[in-house]
Amino acid sequence: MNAVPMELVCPAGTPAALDAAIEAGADAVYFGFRDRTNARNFPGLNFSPKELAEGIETCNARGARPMIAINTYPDASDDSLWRRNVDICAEAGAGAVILCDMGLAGYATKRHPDLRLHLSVQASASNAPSVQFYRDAFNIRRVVLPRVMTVEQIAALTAAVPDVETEVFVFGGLCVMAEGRCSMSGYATGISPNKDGACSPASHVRYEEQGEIMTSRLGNFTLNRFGAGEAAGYPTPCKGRYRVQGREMHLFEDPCSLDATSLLPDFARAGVTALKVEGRQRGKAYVAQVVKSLKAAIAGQTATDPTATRRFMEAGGATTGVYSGAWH
Amino acid sequence: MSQSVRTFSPGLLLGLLIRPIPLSALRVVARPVMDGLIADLGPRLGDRLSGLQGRLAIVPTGHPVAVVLDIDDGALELDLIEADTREAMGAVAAVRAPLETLTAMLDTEGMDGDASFFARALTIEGDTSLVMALRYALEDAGAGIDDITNAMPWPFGAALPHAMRFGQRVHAAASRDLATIQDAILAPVRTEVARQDARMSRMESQMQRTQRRRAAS
Amino acid sequence: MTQLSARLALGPLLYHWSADRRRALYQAVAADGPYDTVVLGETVCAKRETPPVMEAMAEAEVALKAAGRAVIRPTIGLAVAEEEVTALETVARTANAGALVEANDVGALALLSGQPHQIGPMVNVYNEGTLTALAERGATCVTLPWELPMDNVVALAGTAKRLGIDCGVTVFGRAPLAISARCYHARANGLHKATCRLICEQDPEGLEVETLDGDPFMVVNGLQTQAFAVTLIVREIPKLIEAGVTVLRVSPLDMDMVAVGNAYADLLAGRASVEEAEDRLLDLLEDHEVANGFLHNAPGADWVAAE
Repeated sequence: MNAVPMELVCPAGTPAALDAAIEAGADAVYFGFRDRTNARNFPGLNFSPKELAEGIETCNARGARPMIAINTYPDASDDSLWRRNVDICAEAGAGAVILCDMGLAGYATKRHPDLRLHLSVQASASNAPSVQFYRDAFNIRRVVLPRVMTVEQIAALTAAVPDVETEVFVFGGLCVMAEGRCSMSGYATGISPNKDGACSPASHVRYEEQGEIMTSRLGNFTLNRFGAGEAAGYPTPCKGRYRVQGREMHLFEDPCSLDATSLLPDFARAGVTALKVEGRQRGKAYVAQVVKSLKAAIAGQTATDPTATRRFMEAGGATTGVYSGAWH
Repeated sequence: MSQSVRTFSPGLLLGLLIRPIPLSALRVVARPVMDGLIADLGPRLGDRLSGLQGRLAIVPTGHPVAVVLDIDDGALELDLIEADTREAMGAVAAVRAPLETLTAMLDTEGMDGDASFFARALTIEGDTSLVMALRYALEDAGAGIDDITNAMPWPFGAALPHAMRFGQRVHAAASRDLATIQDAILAPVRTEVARQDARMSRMESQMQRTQRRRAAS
Repeated sequence: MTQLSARLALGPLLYHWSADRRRALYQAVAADGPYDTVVLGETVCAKRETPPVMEAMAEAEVALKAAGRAVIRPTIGLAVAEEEVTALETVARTANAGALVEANDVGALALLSGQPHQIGPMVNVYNEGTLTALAERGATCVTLPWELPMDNVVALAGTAKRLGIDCGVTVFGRAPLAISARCYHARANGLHKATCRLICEQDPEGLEVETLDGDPFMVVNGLQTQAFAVTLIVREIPKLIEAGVTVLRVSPLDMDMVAVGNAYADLLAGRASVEEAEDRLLDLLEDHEVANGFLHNAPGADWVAAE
């Protein structure tokens, strides 16, 4: 059982969202550079090197731990951008760097032995031997678990590798595939989530309105068609609606978001160290309200209005997702 | 000032501007406001818009006027045009949503762009990346009502802070509150317009002089 | 026509075939196939390893080894559930007894580090740093991820050569696009992973997924989602080999895999030109859509025509 309350790790896509997260009570804030080293490499989003260093300073001054995501896979021939960003983090006093690539982790451990390394969900470490490998090879101190594990599996993992902390997603978008191992978007667009940091890049997404019907497309492929008043979801291939055996269905997942607030006591019992909110691409409103609501829930207060965060969800729906066995 | 009052959104700008008065008159009134806004906001949008190009139209559902933003590698220009199809407006991207949705989007107590999109309250046509970039840029600029006040020529700027007190929970009853704000700000303008068109040009030159004075001071 | 120096490998069967169908494939490959190496084992779903399947695969191993082929045991690609982790560890431990093991989940490396082993295309190897880190820990052959563009492959193959390890590229087959803890093959049939009845056996090349407009997009194969279009790399092969690629891997489909292998073998031996080899493969693929976009830095679904 955890004596210390679980740490709430919150997203920030802009300095304004970072302020909103700290204001709302985030214990830690994760953010990243405005370039391809970032798995949320969207136009206009994220931090310039200067903003990032200032963000780290703001966090440190206000008692929130700054964690920097450098969580794409560096290019062959030229990984200088990724290395430069690790150096900036080390110099600016980042609380941790969240990375997924073995080569970059090797660089960071050699060059900055005091820099704390967390394993990004993009590395998809989903079992005890995998976590042990990253610990032994690269001194990984915490692993962000992929959204494919049940609470029981998480408990077994924390028991098997007690010296590596675990962080689990509790709220936000839901990747239903093993993260960092998905080329569906690249198959349609030529932009690799692993290499370029964007799943369903905006440049390749188009919406078409025909009367009340909205069609979403990615590259040359139709992903979904929403009827009048039907709630929409992200234009990612895993949230699409397809025809399989003559039947139209959301084959991979209905458009919905993760909300595991009800499982917080289970996570605590499972030995989880930190809880993560997805959504660096979301607005200040999302960050402020979701963080506030989760912070209250961690403190054992349930008085918050459950509908307050519901409206931020894809298609307005929530699931506890993979954490319960029934999902599989 | 509370956070919600400080929050500026493109929707609010629209709310201040679109009333049933002729587009030509509206443009004249709006021009200095928009120029002032751009002068103030442009630098704060930082380099979030760098490398992007094209015209983005923001169309409040059911209203005859659209705000168009011309983005050219970080530089920004605002204008008002007749709402039309995206192609007719010459826009590479168009966002359509009810006024209250646009208004509430950047309020920390409201919905964010994703949530509005999920709820089908907001539609995006054309180049999605331009829309996203502008959204993040505006949000991070964190522009407040002060920006509009500063951009507005006398006597409207002076009237604004009072009017904005109605906007405290603008997302909750947005249409009603906005109508109040619009009336407060635009009633004198409408009267002027109704009186005679010629006076508009005098007013325009007066505004420009005011602006130059403001810039000089 | 000049000879090209590379070995030919048959990748693991990604689909769930009956014991008899598996026997037919591997007997043909043992008897006639041009493959130097066969990767033999389950990489997608541990539930598929039923006693009859295990028996057929054990027979295949004996037959292939007797025919002089190197047999490599791959680990499962995503180990999450206890039985999957156990399966992963069981395969990895056979390395202690001298088996050649291919890691497809990083978890296997906890057991394989320090002894010779191979790295499969499910492990994210994108750059020289990672390639070197793996070689330092005992990797002797790394088959690169399917989605890598040519300039990345060229750079990595060159590094592999300097490190003195083999570098593989998959030149034929349906690219795996994703893997999940959830079974979409079961879900498409109104079932769950726990109650799937191995429904994936119905579809020897996976279950076709079309867009709402009727365009074929992907194929569901148990826990795995694959590209609909078949990756076909032929005219790029001289460049790959020149860069240092030493292993060409072919991923089995439900067709004459001996003939597929022979087309590549003839190209390597100088008995067929790239055009001839490509024509033969396109004939064998009949109405299968083909793609080479990933290697050409284009959408993976695209076919980039010869210049």
